[in-house]
Amino acid sequence: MLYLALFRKGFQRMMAYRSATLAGIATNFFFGLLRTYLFIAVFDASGQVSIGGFSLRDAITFTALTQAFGSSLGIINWWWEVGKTIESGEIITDLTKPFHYFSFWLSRDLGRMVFQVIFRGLPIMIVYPFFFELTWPTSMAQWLLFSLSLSMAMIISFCWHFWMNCLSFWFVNAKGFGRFAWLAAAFFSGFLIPLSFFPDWLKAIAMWTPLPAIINTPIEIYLGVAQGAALWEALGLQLFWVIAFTIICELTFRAGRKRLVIQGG
Amino acid sequence: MIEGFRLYARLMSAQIRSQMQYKMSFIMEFASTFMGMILEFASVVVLFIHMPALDGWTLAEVAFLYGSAEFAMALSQVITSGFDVFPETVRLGKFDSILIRPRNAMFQVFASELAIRRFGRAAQGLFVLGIAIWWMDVDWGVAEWSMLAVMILGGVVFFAGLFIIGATFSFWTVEGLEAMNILTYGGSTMVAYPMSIYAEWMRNVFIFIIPLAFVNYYPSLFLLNKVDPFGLPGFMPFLSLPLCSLVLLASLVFWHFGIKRYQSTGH
Amino acid sequence: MSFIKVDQLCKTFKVATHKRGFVGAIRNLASRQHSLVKAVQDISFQIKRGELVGYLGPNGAGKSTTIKMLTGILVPSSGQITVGNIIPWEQRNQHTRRIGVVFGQRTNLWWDLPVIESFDLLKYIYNVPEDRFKQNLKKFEDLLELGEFSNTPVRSLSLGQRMRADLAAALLHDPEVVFLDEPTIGLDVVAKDRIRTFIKEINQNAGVTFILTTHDLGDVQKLCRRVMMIDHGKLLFDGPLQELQDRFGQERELEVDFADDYEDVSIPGAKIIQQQGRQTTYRFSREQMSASKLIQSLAEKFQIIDLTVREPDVENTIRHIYEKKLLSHQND
Repeated sequence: MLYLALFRKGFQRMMAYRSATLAGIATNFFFGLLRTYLFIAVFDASGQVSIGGFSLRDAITFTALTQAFGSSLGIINWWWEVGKTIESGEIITDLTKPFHYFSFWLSRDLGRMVFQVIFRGLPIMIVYPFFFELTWPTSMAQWLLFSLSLSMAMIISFCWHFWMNCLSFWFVNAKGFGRFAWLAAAFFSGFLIPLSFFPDWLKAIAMWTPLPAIINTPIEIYLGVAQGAALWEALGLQLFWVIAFTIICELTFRAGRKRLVIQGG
Repeated sequence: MIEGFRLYARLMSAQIRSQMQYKMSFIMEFASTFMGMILEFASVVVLFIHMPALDGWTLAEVAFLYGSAEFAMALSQVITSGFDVFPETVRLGKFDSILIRPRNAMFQVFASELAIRRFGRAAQGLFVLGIAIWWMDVDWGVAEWSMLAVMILGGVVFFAGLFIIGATFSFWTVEGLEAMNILTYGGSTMVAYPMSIYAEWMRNVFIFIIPLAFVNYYPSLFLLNKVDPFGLPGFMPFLSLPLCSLVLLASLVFWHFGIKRYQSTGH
Repeated sequence: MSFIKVDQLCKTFKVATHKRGFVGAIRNLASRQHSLVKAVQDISFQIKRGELVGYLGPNGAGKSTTIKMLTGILVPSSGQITVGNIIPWEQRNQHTRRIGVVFGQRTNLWWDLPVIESFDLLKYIYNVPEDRFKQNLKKFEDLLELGEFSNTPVRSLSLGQRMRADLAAALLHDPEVVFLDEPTIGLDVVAKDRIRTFIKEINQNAGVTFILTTHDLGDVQKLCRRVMMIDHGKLLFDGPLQELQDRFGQERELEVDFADDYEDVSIPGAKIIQQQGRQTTYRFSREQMSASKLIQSLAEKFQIIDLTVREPDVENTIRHIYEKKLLSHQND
């Protein structure tokens, strides 16, 4: 099947960048160290055992998880492949090919993501415990729910990138806006600091966007911060975004394609 | 020498003129980077909701560290843009075009590129730094301003050295040295907060082996009248520029070594 | 008095052999194994002022490596080069002021700047006096018809225009010797012709020495009196174009129009290279068969309306040399 082949290709393509992967792991881990000591100092200065439901150990685990999965989930690295082909006009030839455009790129990018979960994420999760004590999921069910949530986060992350890329259909300088969107995602997804640390009004703003579903939700499930009804609510919201955002992307892409065909690029 | 500066100015203005053909794209990148990076600082502000000070440093003081580190690193990155794209320069054979010109090769690499789009990050650093200067409890006299100027200069020089070292690796490997990001981006992030929050081994590495702590931490201790928590001698803040210059010097030596290799191995 | 002296020039590259696989990648970091590639082996020649020399050879023969050493980009492994008593890589600054270089594959100009601004920057880089600069610019604008695109950014130029701009740029500072690496690659006939005329003009009137590498045998035919041929890093031939042709141009062609459709028109000792209707073209070698002998054997069997004997052109000669490895046999 085409999409499975694309997924494998996307995965294999990453194998070529071995030295980049090693450098990436080292850099991600170093940033993890910096952020961990920052949180240690913050907890120390706050005089509290728990901030927003996070213990210090949770906060350290938070840095491990974000550094481990941030590149996979497209928060550390930005993606402009589709935007590039729209800008250069190469997309015209792609559109004549018999595949579903959104699924084409989704398959490829999922290949990259899965590669990075395994070869950039897991090494960091393995190295971290040698330096700090981490929180781990307490049951098999929690591991499964985390995996489910991480998978949905990948799709939403892809949608976020794809949708921004599609803006190139309308704006010549969409790339600049895309860069802002990417940097904004680091903040509003709860990558830089957990959303529970936010003041309520700021968190409310973030919750109106799909961004928390990319980082904050899987992490809160992993840590057990989200439990009971809150957990199901978070998963439900993620599922909603998977469906809604996929539809939004498809509609946006169709509108863009129509515009391209009518105006001739 | 003066003629060299003039030529540099000419080449830079040519760079700016050619990039101004994409003016809107430049403005967009500038604005988006500026605003995006402001959000990064916003996360520091949010942390201060939960504490009065970070290891004795107020928000304004941390903003000073953060702003100066970002500004020096980003400004240095703009100035050394030619080295940023150097792996590509070598890979595409453009370095040959440099070697056939009757000017110093390093000078030409410096003058080969000016990524003005990167000013967005420098502007963000300057913005945060400006707020911190205005807000901090410091009497700004001649000594303080001089120390600030020397400190920024030291930071620019320090990071320039690192960028040049990273680029020089492209004489050996195709990609240049990506692991250098640890010291450049990682380094500027590290000194955005007081050194005292880090583990002892990290502090020792970045004081005694790689003089990262001199980029802004020691000068800031002087400006803010803080006691050195590591009990090192009082002249440490004044070592800032000399030590940072040593990094640049090391990069020049390394470059000299690398270019020899290029000429003997070919590409 | 020779201007360029090359003596026993050698260049050996160390090429790292990469181990494959993840473990291999890590082992590569620790220790690398190298193999040696001899790109240029023991080449000697001398070139006088005002010569126009063609430097030929198949891909990977060592042409570019030689040019890079002559221009000071690379340092030889052994041997000597002097260009007007200057050693290129040791006195790079003085050397580069006296040479001009054009890479056919890649521009030396500023991609996003209008051509005229690139020239202006070069004026400052080479410290060309203002009046001299204007004089040269005027001359090249006339000869190369730069006027039509001098305000266009280099990235928007056609390949032919770009090459003309690059040529002018390489000559703005009055170099004594100009190196052209594939100057006509990818150009159409008209553009090639314009560039050849220009090179000839500058060579003859200004006395500038030219060394050009090329794949295009038209360049050689139109421009070069002297040809050097290199393969596998060795200089295999150095002399007038005519001599090359006399020595190696053995294969001639005979084009025959037959009066009737014959089924089998083959003749032992001659190779049929083209057949179109009643017209057949044979290729035959001087050593094996004379033209009259071939015509005689054809006339015995078939009825002939018309025939033409074609003497070998440079292209055929050189292809013959490459294919048969004639020259390397002689040297080995």
